[in-house]
Amino acid sequence: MRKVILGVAVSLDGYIEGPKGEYDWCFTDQDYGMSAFFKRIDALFIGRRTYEMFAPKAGTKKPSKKQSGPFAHFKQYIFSDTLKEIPKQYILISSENLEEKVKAIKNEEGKDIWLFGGASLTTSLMNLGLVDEIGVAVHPILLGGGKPLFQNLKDRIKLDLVDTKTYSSGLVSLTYLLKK
Amino acid sequence: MRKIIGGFAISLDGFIEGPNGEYDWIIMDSADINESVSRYDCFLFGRRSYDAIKNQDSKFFDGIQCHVFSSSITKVKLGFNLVKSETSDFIKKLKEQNGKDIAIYGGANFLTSLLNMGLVDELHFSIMPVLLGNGKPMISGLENRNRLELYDFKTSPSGIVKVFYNVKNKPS
Repeated sequence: MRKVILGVAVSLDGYIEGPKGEYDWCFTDQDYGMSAFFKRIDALFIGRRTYEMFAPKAGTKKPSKKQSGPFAHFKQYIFSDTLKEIPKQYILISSENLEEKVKAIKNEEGKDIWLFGGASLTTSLMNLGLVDEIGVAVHPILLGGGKPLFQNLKDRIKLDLVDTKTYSSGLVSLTYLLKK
Repeated sequence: MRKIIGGFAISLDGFIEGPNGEYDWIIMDSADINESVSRYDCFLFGRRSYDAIKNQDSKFFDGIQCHVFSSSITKVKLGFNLVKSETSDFIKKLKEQNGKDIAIYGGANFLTSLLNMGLVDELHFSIMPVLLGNGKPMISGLENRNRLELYDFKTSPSGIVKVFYNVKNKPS
């Protein structure tokens, strides 16, 4: 079965964004395993708010850099109950029978699936036990505040550490499987 | 000069206690306890972490200088020293004395205040293989970002990740 994988950059004290929403602390000087990661996946799960940040819309802000070359040939699933129609390169998934729908996608032939974000979709899928693997890039910094890694998890989740890598910048990459 | 080291067991999502104050998710490692005994001869306590151990009849602290930092407590038990004010000056003098390194026994708020004063030299964290979702954050009230420099890294068969950092850019 295909795996749903979450990848996040986080500060040592557990924030994915600084207090003002800033990402300037995230390292971009090395690959940090991103190229290898892109080879593992052929689909993205995207929540509505994240989608709206980069979706092409008339008269609104231009798409963010996130929606660029490497993603164009991935199947992109947009999770929303409110969007009525989206460009045909995306697939719209409503929350009705969400668990069955996601399991059906995982049962299809294909590579692994990148849970792209955002926080709301991630929490929903984690609470349903549908996320299989999490890759955390722990940055050597204490931010002191900001957006926490996870909010609204309904229970604690035990993890299996399966891989680690350290980089010259002090970044520590940890890969865990989520125990169900 | 003696170094001050802070560090705890933390969940992957950055908590030192679960939502109901629980610690059952922490996997104890005897190597850590042995290291404590050999590397440090001095522990620093914030009020809450002192309260947590003061009624324990334990030999663990025998032979270790224990300093409790609190402006609200009026006395501490035998063998412990109370520091009611001038924390920064007291700690700077401690560092200049001869001795082994100094460990911040706890807690999160106290560690954060020492980070804010630029008094912490190293941070050692044992990351437990668990997401708690909620609980007491490991750092609370940090005034500025603290850049860290990773100098060591270990893993254990039980999935614990130990990270060792020097604290850089200490505010003066």
